[in-house]
Amino acid sequence: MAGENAAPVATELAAGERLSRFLFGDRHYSSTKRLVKPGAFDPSPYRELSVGHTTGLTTAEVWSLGEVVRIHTRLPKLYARADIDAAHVVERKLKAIRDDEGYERHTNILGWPDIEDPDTRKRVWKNLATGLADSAALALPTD
Amino acid sequence: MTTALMTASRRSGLIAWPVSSQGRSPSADTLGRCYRIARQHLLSSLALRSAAEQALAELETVRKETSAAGWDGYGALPIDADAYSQARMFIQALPTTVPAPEISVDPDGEVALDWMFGKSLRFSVSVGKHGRLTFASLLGHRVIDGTEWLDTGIPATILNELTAIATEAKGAGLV
Repeated sequence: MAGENAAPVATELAAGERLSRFLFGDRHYSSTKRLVKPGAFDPSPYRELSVGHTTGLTTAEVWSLGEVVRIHTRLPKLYARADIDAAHVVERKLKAIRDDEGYERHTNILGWPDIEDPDTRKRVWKNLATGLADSAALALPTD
Repeated sequence: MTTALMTASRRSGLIAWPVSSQGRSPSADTLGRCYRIARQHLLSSLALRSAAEQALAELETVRKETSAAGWDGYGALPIDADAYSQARMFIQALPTTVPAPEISVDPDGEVALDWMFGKSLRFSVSVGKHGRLTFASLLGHRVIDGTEWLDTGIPATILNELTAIATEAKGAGLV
């Protein structure tokens, strides 16, 4: 982990590292089907998707990190998280860059194809988001 | 006759949202009236109405939940009012044989309709403000995506793909 006063150094995470997308509403997953929806991994209208690098953390520590993120969002409740191996990011030619910006372990999924035509961009990004969502594992605080 | 009403031969059948008629003749007007009456009868059937109304009610709930920017905690745009209207039309045009979708909003404000039957067995379509339909489907290792438009009803490409996945799910006992 970066020291308290150290400047964040961006690090690219490789396959095998676990990433967690914290979900602050109940619309981007199905608790009964235990599946994550593409919207959870859709970076639009931006070009980066914010996740936490949670490799090596205990379950309780992961939820604690989610609570840190929740405080940043100012939303009242952390509903769930979607865990995904960075391998699924890398295989789609995206990059998981841990930068520790805002909070320790903050990571961005970057490299979303820069496509000028909005119809094509939406289609390509939806394809990527759908694939990532299908590869993710849903975790609920009640698990 | 120039009437362009959606015919019963289409997969979406009479319950589908009617295509705008180009017809101006008395026959076209009569056909239009008949279509609306028949459609109303179908919608009044409790079984048919409940699925559509359930989805529309969920859409309305989603609209309220996502009406302010940042609703997802990551700076999402609020639901787009025109995308909401287009999504209403899409839901009303769904064939009664198709299960009701799960409804959410993409972070860019488009409405997302998802049919998730299991791992790698899912169909997702995003409805945009001009009726753009961006879809992605997973059927095992087969991944298909595409862009269609709602302006003449739900495109056959989307209905066919959705039907294929729903059939697969039914065969696997997931429906």
